[in-house]
Amino acid sequence: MICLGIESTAHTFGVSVAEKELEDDTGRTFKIISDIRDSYKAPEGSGIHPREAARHHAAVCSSVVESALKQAGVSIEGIDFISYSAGPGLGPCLRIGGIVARSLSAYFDMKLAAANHAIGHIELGKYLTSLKNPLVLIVSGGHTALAAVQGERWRIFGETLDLTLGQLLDQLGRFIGMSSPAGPKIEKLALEGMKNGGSLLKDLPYTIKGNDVSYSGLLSAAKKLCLRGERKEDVCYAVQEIAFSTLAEATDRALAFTGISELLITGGVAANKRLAEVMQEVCKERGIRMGVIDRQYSGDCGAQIAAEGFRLAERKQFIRPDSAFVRQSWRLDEVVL
Amino acid sequence: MKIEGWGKGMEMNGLSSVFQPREFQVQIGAEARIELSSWRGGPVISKTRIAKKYRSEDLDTVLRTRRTKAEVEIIHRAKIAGVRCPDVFFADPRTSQILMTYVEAPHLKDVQLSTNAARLSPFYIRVGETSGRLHKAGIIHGDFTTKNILVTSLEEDPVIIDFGLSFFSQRVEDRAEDLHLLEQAFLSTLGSQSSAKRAFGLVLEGYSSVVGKSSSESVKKQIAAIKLRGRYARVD
Repeated sequence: MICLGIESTAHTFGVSVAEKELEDDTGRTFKIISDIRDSYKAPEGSGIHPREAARHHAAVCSSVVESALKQAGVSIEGIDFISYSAGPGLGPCLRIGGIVARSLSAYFDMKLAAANHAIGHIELGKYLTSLKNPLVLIVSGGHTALAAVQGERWRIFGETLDLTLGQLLDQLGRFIGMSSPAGPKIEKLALEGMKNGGSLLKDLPYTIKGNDVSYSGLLSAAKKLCLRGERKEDVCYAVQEIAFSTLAEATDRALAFTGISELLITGGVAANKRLAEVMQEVCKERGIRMGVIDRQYSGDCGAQIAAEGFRLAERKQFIRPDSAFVRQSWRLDEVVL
Repeated sequence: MKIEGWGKGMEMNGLSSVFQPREFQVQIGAEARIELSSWRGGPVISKTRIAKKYRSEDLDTVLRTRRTKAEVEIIHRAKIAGVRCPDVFFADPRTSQILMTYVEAPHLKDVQLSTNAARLSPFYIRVGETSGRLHKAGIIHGDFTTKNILVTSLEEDPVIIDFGLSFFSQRVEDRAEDLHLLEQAFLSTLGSQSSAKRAFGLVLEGYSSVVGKSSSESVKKQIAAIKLRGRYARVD
């Protein structure tokens, strides 16, 4: 089966053509044929403006769909069904993807699947790392959570109480003059702060409550350090260390609690090498397998929406175009698998 | 401050049937290693926070130091509040080690399984009073289960151990969570809803006598709210 995956939850409008034999639970037949993205670029020092991002998506959507099909060498008639990101995300952005999916589905009479964006990150990660039943650490701009399947749902074994890891890095980045997404730039600066940044660790709050993390206090304290005149490189290093360590502690406990023997890291921040290094230590001590989603597909993309689309298609969970919805808030543990 | 009843804790007072001296097992938790050790000729518990390789050495040192100091500080404050807990003989933040009294007494959990409920009633009230004293002093135990409540005698206050997850807070939510955990432990040990409810009712009675009626009522209300958060929850 061939699926057209449409992603538009935040800054990226992405379309992917992907193929998979249904009922193949090894995932070996899953193939990304094309994956095209066009991202809204926020001005330096500011974040994503939902309306501006939606305007961007509306402007590029038809050309992105076209080039995804063209690169895949597939005509629109060759597509078996459409999967679109129905949430969670920014309302105006979600609606553009929703409109594109609904229109194509109605006009070409194609089946339609409403994908949860977070589960998309997870499903794509599972295919690309060949992990079967992992504890998932999903880290992105919209999510920071530890999840594992229990019964017929994803159950959360720890999550952020306020900011996500992506938001923490983005907001710190913006404060020191970068534009979103700031994660990769912060990672680079942090490398230069490795030598001196250690001295700042004791000035930053390390918050873990039960098995949940909290980053808002860390962000405020980091901003204060910047204002105090500390080097950006050192602050970036210290913030990364604290944020990743709290997450590692929560992951360590969740692994102990669930007894799961695989860890999957997915979502935009999965591209951070230091995070992978930290988690590798956790896994090494427990002797378990770790898989990190390929850097190329860690960020938002149509392929993740296609991956979740296949899961829905296998369960025949299609919807009619006139009942297609978008949901800004849609927890991944609400989805009945 | 001298605490009433302390020192004769090792006497078995009719509990010898429950507690049989056994080889002490080294316990490795998620955070610390607990071993039986000796200090000045006597047996002590040594609790050492384990270094974690997944965080940078600097941070690991800061955290283990901070948590070790906090634990000692909280034990000290608990004692001032009149709560029986291990005596800290020695603490070294650099090695994140704490040496404290080895209290040779059974867990409340084991006592519950072997003692008839009527005999335990006055003790449940003492448990409630103890937790009331902690909360009044601003201390939330954080892991207030029947395994962390030791019974030296049914006629004495319990000895509270493991302040590793404790923190200072005056929030009703935190207090309610502390007690809710105890109720859940009662449920899993006592099996029947009604006997757990009766036992926990006595705890709340003792709790109320220390913190006062209005404080205990708001905590009770919050416990009910916490129960409702569970999936498929039923509150009777």
